[in-house]
Amino acid sequence: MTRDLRFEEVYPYPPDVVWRAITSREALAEWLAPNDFEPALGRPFEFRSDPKPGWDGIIRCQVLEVDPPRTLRYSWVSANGAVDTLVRFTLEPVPEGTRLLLEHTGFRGAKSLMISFLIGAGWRRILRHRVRATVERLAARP
Amino acid sequence: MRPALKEKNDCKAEVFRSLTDSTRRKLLDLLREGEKPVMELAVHFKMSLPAVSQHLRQLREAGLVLERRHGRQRIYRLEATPLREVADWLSHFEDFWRTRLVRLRDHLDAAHAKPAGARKESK
Repeated sequence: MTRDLRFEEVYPYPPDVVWRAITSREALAEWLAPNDFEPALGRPFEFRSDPKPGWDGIIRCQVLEVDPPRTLRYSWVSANGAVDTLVRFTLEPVPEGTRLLLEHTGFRGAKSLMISFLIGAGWRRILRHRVRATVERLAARP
Repeated sequence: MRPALKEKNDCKAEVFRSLTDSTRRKLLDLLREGEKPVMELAVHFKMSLPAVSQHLRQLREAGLVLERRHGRQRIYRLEATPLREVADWLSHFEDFWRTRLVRLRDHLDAAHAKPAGARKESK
């Protein structure tokens, strides 16, 4: 089972300005998360957010496509590989400025993934097998 | 926004903590059949009644069961909403990106002077 997320926004700025905002390390740190991004094909990088219960806060990425100022695509892996997904930004000039299409794709495995996503190192072992079944059973209750 | 977000995460942590315990998982399972008084729940366990009550209290604090009094009895009922929220993992990413895209807009607005006439005068 695969589910995708798609977001569309129009920003009143030309594509090269929006492109800078999605490819500059400083800009990304401001609106997305602290990172060591570089818009170079094949380059691995990381986003680091504050750890949350069950998540170390690290997203491991690799640049898969850079076509300025139009397309940026990278892999997006977190929670020890439980989340193994792709993120793509597509910019398109429109009369109002720039339309940004953000697609986050490749989510698999439905609920079990959320469990893995939230469960941290300490709980992982305990919860992995036993809780998954319980949550899914109970959540299915009307 | 921030405090609400934090609260939400704390709640989720609380839900997971509840589920780490086999007694509490069994209690939730028993309650799937419908509401039950504490005495009826307790017969399924070897532990004392107060010990079972303690687990039920923890479940109540996590928002997973609701309690009502009927005469001298306490009656418990399953509240599945928090479990459904936790189970709907994709919504986390949806929240994540929605928040981030608003921040991207703020970033663009802050980093660039208003292009003349190109913007709505909102905010």
